[in-house]
Amino acid sequence: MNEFRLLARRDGWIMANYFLEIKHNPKRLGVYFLYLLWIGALVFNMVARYRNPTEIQAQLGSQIIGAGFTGLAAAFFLYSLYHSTLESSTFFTMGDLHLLFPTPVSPKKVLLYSMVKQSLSHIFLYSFFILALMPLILNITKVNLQHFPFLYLGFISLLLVVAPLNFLVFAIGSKYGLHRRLQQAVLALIAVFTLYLAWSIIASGDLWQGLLQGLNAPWLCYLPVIGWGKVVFMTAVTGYSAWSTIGLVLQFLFLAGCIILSYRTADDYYEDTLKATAQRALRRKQRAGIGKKRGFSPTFSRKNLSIPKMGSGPWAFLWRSKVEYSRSDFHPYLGFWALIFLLAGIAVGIFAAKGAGGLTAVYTTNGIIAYIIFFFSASNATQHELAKPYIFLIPASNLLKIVGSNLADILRMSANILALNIPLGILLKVPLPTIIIMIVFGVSFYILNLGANFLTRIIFRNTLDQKALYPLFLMLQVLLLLLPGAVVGGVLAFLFQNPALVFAGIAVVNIIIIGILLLLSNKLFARLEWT
Amino acid sequence: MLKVEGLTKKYRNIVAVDNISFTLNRGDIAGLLGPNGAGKSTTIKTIVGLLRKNSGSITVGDHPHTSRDAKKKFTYVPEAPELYDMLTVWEHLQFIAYAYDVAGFEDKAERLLERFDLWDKKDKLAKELSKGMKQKVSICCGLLPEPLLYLFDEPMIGLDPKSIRETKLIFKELSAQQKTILVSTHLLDSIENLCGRVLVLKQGKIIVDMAMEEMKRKLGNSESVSLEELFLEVTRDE
Ligand SMILES: Nc1ncnc2c1ncn2[C@@H]1O[C@H](COP(=O)(O)OP(=O)(O)OP(=O)(O)O)[C@@H](O)[C@H]1O
Ligand SMILES: [Mg+2]
Repeated sequence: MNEFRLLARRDGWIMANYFLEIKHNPKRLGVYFLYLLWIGALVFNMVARYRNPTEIQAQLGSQIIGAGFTGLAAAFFLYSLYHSTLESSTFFTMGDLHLLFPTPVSPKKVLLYSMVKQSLSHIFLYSFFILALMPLILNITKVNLQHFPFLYLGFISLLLVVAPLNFLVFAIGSKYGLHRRLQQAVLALIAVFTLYLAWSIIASGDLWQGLLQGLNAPWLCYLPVIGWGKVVFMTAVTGYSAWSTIGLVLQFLFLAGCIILSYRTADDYYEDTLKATAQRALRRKQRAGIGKKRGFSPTFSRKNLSIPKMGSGPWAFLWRSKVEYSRSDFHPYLGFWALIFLLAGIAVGIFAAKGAGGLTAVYTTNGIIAYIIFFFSASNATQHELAKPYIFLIPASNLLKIVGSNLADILRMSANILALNIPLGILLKVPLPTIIIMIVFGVSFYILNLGANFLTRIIFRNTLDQKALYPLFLMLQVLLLLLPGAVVGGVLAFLFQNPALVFAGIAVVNIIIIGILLLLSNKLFARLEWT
Repeated sequence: MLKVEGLTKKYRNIVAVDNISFTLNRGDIAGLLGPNGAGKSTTIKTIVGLLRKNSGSITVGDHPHTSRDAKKKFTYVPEAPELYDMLTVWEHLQFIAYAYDVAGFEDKAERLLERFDLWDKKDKLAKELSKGMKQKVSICCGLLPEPLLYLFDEPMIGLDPKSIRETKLIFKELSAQQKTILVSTHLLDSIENLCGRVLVLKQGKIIVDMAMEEMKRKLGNSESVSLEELFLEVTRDE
């Protein structure tokens, strides 16, 4: 049978089975409906927010957007280029690996088919990103919605190019044994780009001005992928010109070029994709709530560790976390992230000390951190532990088990928050009580989010539901866990005219909710299952 | 049928398979034995072409092992099967049949599913199957194309007694049809009366390659010596 037809058939069956599944279980339609609502809300937001900023605002705004796009695109592109000298990207599933790869189907054709398929499906899948970003963009500048397709394609084309390019670079590296050379070349590129930015900042004498000018330099537009993508993207902001179309065509020619070149070079690529494919399968599982999510941190593979016993029963969990973090970080509690938080604290402190808004900077930074914690909350110890049988097996009180399995994470996060707030407090001469409020706020917020993970498990037992109902769950989490604190904090702050009290209020309510959750831990635990 | 010469496979600096050579002829059933981490799966995956060899040559029926002609001649059952979550059992077999161009696969597939008690599960999605059922589907996929060479990596793990017996019976039938089988396993007693040939790997090297009979003769001279004892004897650390 024709090989492309074979693959298309397989995908046809898969699609049909998805539809059948929905037909047998129409409740799942509700989930998709929720997603649609969500997208609808985003689009509505986009249209409703649409207003005409003044010319000057729009002018500056378009510069900011242009610089933002270039900066993020360059960072993303260079990072993935670097990544591609270490590891291949994948277009395959574990099923492909075990069932398709051993068959006499030509590896080249499998590759071509899978690359094209992934690119096509990503054109639609990544739309969430752009829709979610639109309100922000609209707030900054004027967008001609008529040219929205350009904005969309400019953004998407950048994302689409990355996976095939990554594959191609790695395949060439494997084939000709060039991984090191390529890595050096990419590092050189990164250095050049960084130097260029540094030079523009120094030349203009001002950080923001320099960045804006450097990233909006006209010559950047001639760069493949980043520059071309920018030209296309900016059409919706700065207006259409022939370059928009040319840029768009060039982008897609580049993508096609990557795919065709991969097709021509790669024949013996199966081994290269094994690791990435397994990792992707794992990520899928994690999104469905099974298995450990690893935060981003550099990996040290220290093999010989000797962490002393830390007590018996539930403290074995603490010991385990300590071993894992000692292996993956510089220090079990003061890790990579503590360093980042510290640097962020110092940077914000220095900047805010120059300007006026000392306290505002403290509030904003802590607010942003809380927001980030909230967004990445579905993670870590609890999920990890709940995916394994031990937490159900180890004989100890449920309360202690919960504490034992989360303590290391809480300590780490506390260290991070301290690392952020201490330099802020010193540099900005913030009163001690305010800093203490900030720290308690951050830590309690983190603990509450850990608790929320338990609740997800209990409310949505089925892992599939957990995955599908994620937006709904976020809403619930906002309502149940965040709103009470925010209301109390808001009222307090209004009564006493002190914004620090918002944080104090939230912290107090958080602690109360945590207390209630812990009191109920026996009841909650009884409803947990190991899946 | 299968000729492996001077095969070496490294994972970065770890030498997982160290310059091994062996030849399987038509009708051979060879058991690939060895302690955990000896390199059995690595050897099989390299033959299949999932891993690249660092040196050596592998031919299947005189074709280089990654060529299309070679791939038409063998099937592979992985050690921990991963199926397509969203395909049904039957569709898996259909997919394999198309991939290997199996003529009139419906009858064969039906017979296989019946033998492994999967017939009533044929419309179930792979993600709804138990571990053992997945393993059985994977075996069926490996058997369906009726190739000349079968590469099975611990196929009997997790199977119920009936399926183990069925698998062994099938191996016997295949051998009678002059097919070649390379099967890695830890279940020594289950292959004791099955394999005519034993390959024992240890730390990436072949330390034993001989006919079962010869091996028994050499070490015990008696009928009562079991393969288990032989295995423990040859793989024992000095
Ligand atoms: N992906 C990998 N990366 C690095 N080393 C590996 C990898 N896979 C296997 N190894 C190493 O290669 C060696 C052989 O592994 P292999 O899986 O082939 O053993 P095996 O004989 O199949 O063992 P088992 O009986 O446990 O299945 C082991 O030392 C193992 O540590
Ligand atoms: Mg193995």
